[in-house]
Amino acid sequence: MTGFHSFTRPLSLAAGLALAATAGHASASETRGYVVSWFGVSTYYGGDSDCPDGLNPMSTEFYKRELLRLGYSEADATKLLKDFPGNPGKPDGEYIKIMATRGDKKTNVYAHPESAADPGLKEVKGTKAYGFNLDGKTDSPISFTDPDTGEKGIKNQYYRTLGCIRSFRAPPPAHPTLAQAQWDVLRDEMPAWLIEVSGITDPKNSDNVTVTISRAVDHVSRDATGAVRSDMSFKVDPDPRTHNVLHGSIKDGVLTTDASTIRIVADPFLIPEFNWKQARLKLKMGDDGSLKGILGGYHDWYALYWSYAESGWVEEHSASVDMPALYYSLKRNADADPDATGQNQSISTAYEVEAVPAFVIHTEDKNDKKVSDAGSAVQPRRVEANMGGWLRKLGW
Amino acid sequence: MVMLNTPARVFGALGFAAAIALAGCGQKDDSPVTKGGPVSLRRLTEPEYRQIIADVFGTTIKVPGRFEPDVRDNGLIAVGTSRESVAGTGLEQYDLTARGIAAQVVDDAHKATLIPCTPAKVTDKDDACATQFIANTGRLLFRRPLTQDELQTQVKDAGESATKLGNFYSGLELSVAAMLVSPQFLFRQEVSEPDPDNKGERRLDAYSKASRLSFFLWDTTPDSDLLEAAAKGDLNSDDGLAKQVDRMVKSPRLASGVRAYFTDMLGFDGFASLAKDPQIYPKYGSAVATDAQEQTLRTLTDLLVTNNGDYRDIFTTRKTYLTRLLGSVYNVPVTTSTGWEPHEYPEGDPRAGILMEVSFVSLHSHPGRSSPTIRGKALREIFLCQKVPDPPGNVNFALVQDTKNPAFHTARARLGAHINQPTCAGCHKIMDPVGLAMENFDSAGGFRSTENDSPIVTAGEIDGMKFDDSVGFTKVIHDHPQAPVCLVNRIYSYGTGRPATKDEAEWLNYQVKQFAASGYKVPELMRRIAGSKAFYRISTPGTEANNATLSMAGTSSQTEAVK
Amino acid sequence: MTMNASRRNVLRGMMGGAAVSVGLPFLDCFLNANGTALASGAPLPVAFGTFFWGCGLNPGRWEPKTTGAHYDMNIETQPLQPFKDRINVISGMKVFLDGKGARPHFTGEMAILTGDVPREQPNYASLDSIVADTIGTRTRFRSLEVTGTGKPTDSLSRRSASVSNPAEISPAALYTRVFGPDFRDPNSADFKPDPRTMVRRSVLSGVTDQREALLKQVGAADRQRLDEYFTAVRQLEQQLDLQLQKPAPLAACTSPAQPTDAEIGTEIDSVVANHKLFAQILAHAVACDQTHVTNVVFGEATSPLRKAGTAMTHHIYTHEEPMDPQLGYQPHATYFMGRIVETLAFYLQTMDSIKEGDGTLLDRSLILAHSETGFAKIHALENIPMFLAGGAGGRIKTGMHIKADGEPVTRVGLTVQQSLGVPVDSWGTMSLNTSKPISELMV
Repeated sequence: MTGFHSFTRPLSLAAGLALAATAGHASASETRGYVVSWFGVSTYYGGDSDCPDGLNPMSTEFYKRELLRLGYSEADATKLLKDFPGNPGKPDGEYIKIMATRGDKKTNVYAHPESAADPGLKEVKGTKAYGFNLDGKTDSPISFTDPDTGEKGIKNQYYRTLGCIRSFRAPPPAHPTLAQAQWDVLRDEMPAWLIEVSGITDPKNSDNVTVTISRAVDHVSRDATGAVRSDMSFKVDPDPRTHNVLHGSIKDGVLTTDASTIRIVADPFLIPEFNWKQARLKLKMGDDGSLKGILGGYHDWYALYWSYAESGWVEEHSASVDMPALYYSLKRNADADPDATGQNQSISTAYEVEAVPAFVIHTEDKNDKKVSDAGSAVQPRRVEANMGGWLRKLGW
Repeated sequence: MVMLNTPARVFGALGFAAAIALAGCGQKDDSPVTKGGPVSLRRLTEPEYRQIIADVFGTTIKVPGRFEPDVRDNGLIAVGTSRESVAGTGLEQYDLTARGIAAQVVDDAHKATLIPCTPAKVTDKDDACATQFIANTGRLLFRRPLTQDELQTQVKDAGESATKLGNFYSGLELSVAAMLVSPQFLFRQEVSEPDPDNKGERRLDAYSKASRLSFFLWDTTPDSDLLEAAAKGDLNSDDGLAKQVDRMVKSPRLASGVRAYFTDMLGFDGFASLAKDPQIYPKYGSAVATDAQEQTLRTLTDLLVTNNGDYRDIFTTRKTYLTRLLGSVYNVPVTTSTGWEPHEYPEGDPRAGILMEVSFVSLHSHPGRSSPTIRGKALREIFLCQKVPDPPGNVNFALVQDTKNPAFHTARARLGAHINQPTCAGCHKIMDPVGLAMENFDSAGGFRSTENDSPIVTAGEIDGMKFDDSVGFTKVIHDHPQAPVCLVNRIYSYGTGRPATKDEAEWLNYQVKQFAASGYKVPELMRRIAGSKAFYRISTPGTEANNATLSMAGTSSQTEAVK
Repeated sequence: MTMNASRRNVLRGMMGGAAVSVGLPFLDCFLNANGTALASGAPLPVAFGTFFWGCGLNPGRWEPKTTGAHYDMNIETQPLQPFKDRINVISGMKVFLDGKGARPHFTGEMAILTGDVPREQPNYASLDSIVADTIGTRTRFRSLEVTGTGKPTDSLSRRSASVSNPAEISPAALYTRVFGPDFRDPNSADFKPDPRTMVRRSVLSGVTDQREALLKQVGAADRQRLDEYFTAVRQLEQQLDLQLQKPAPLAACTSPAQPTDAEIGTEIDSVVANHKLFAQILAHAVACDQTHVTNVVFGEATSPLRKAGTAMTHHIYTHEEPMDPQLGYQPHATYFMGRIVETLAFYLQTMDSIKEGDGTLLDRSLILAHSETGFAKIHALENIPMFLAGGAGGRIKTGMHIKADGEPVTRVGLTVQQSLGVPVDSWGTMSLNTSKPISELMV
């Protein structure tokens, strides 16, 4: 009874004035569409065992520490921080200027973190983390164990750096504050992210599926509970920058993909774009049509650093992320792609992904609202800091 | 399933000439003669008020304030307007709204266009300019030219206000505010006059005709052309009236009139207080409710006006319009980002017609679950004009409760007791089978094939006609003889602001036959009514007592006639 | 058409001048030094209010066990215990149908408030409107209506068959209406009549001047409705007159805090939260003499109250919830009844907290709190819960449980009218007609 049942599950459709060519499906295979409803860095929460040296200090604490190191007296340091957080450019924000050049008292420490000494970020010492065994080695000293499956050799050095910073810790089902705050804004501000899975012969077990990750023209909508609305229609943005076609398979209801590069245009509020290498997805396909799991891969660690540091004091003070400490920790924990000096350029990462059913529409109708040909339609978020460094690095 | 070719003769009228006259310009009205009904005094409804302000002052004028709620009578707000008046609280709000509108009319953004003349001195009164403005605006607001007295008083008041407040425009502002709370604006007062073509009979005077005509076809105040025609006496001749009717039926504004009629008939004002539990129906919300109403109105105007289709097809049509948001409720893809796109349910889809659009099934349900009984009652009352009696007092519901097995899986099972108990069955047999045919659609309009893991069965029987599923059910309603009869009666009531009188039964039966012969085309029906003598005939005083109104009730006697 | 020249000319004459003393006879109240009475020696005006809720209470759990004076509140009315000496409980009264159909959640309150069982629409003015004609003619608002479940049409207050007073659904909107820009603080030192108001007042009388001529133009059936409209205009004129007058100082009058609405809908916590805001505004409105009549509808008669995240409403529970064999009642349905009675207690408490001399606002008020059925499960029209709270300024005896089995509910309405000075000997239609007030309560 296929008649009306074909509309009970969102499908990927060819619609509109012109048809995008889709690979001919065998009459028995199905394509399912999804829209990403949650995306955030995966930081396993193991309670006290993760950070036996304690958690990293709050920004008030490390600002005080820095002021003392710079030679301010206890009394002066306290006075400078009296009206924390204060306002940049105003008398109650005097300390902000001092902190911005706290390395050598003249260079911007966010753009040039090596102008400061490494304060020493407290890092994760626990043994469990989500992610993938990206390099195939199970006996490496940096390996974690998957908390659910027990799989050994998980590489997630990004978690090692972030995991003892308060704003990245939260017991499930809560999400860490910073990740939640970023996604809360992004989810509505940026066009939606789409996932299509085609070639499904059996939703529990299919050997040969194709997973496409792309960006939409439309933004997500919310339902009455505030969650991302299911069964909405999204047109695929033809912008080739976010168009990833991966090969995968479904076993016992879990979808996994083969290693591949993945590029997703995001938003400078989080990061202008993600570029993973050797990236994989592992997503459980729920009975309610949802997806839940992780995306893992190697990412340029400096890009990740800059995604926080570009806002300078703003994110540093509000999320208590000591930027130079973060820089040195990422640099130290980077675990792939050595450059000529042997310094690794990439770091292993894992991100949580959740998605709900959606209609993914391929159309070439030029009258629909679309991203323009060049560049991004996304308005960069105004931030109060120096964006120069990394943008120059990208050649923008 | 019984196919019926002719509408049932409902009111037992005597035989009459079956001349099927196609309506058109200058054709004689061959319908039976009626005695008419009383003149009406109808308060403006909120949508009418807003539309009039937009038509007279432009769409950039905001209408602030809250409105006295409209009241429904005999199934229509349009009939309720003949019962309503204005309470103290209501007038307070009208006054606030009037002042808010008046302030905008004289503000810098609007005064150049709305007040074409300029005063000699802004800080002083100017009777000439005030007279011009008040006469023109008053004519449009009062739906007739102001009397000499009215004009003089208003100009004098405007002048005094201008002097007191030191500003010409403040004077006009207060006079606009006063006009907007005047009874001549708030109430559509009809005036009758002796009918020269029928000695001893009465008819509406020309301006009252213009009003009735304009609100019927376009749901707004008579425009300048129509007022002109009234002034010249054109509306009193068959040809003159037909010309205006023709102009108005051919205008795109007919769609507004049709929308206004169905908004009333379908009870969309109920959406203002409709709530669904967000935990159970997260997809529902006020934006969905707004889109759902618009969807149904577009389905209707597209079918009935743009395509001049068969009224009965409203129950079976598979063509509709969707927004992206509605797409998520109907679970279908919608390409357009904002706005509407046409959509057709595919062959075999269980949805068809407006009964299965979100607007109907969600309006007639509980906040947390569907209700076959409420939907059945709504269908009977709205589309078939059949009144379902209220439940009796002191019914012992303990009989209905099976305490051994309180967990019924489907509504059909839950309502089984309604049907099995003799005291309940009489009325519930009328409602429940109708609503059960729509059980595939939950309280928020989404489709489901099971409830609590039990399959939903929609096969049933209504008034002797059997159906196998929801689409079959829509075909049964399509063919139900009462549906076109109900529409004709109800749209006539809508136009006159009162239930039809017993004397008008013969005329209405004739109209039903015409409606059928024309292929159930609604614009034609409205044209025939608007161009008829009956629509404007006023009963002579003293005959009101003899003109008892027709009730729309009729249950088993009606259904027997169908067989 | 002749204009009512003298009145308009009087007003016009004022406009040239500065301060306006309109000199209309009814505005001669000034308070005595203690704020307990008017300077003329008459006591502070009596205030009347109604409090209505749908789906009743559980029979056997709300009626006091003893009759007469010194009763104790039963289980379901425990929240009212602190006020029992100022409350009369009336049990056992019923509605006589005289063969007419009973419409559930409609007939009960119609009988109590209009003395009539209508077949379709209500046929008569409501009790509060009748009372307002006696005690509410001199205030800015003839009456104020509020409802907790979001529909302005849920008001039971009607001036006549065709004119009902819509209810406020938003406490913030009610606040603005009563204490917003048009509020004349009786205790403020400076007062200047607004020239715009004067002009509005004058222009408005141009509208009322047309009354006679317009009434002549309409048929008999419509004359009354048009007249009701003109009555409404008179009320607006009166409001404007009051705005042009310096109001008399009132010691107990203070503006309440500007409220922020809880979500307006049927979710019980929000409904109760909004009612608490309404209670504040209404009590202050009466204390500031903005009105003498208030009408509170807890929720519409079909009680769509529900808890967040659940489908079932109070109403559906009353019909479908099984009786708990241990408890002897329907637990979920009864939960809502409890919230309603607590809210009634809150209203009384709020009135009681406004001190006026030796007494409180509650002492000079009379509140008729009632439902529309004696047992919602079966839509019973016997034993409908009814309470009279407040001392009515000494015009009524309090602290009694009146068990009036089989008596018509209209006896309460008659008692209310006679205590408040409405000149009426009997009230009600057909078998609901009565000329016997509840003598035990009459002073």
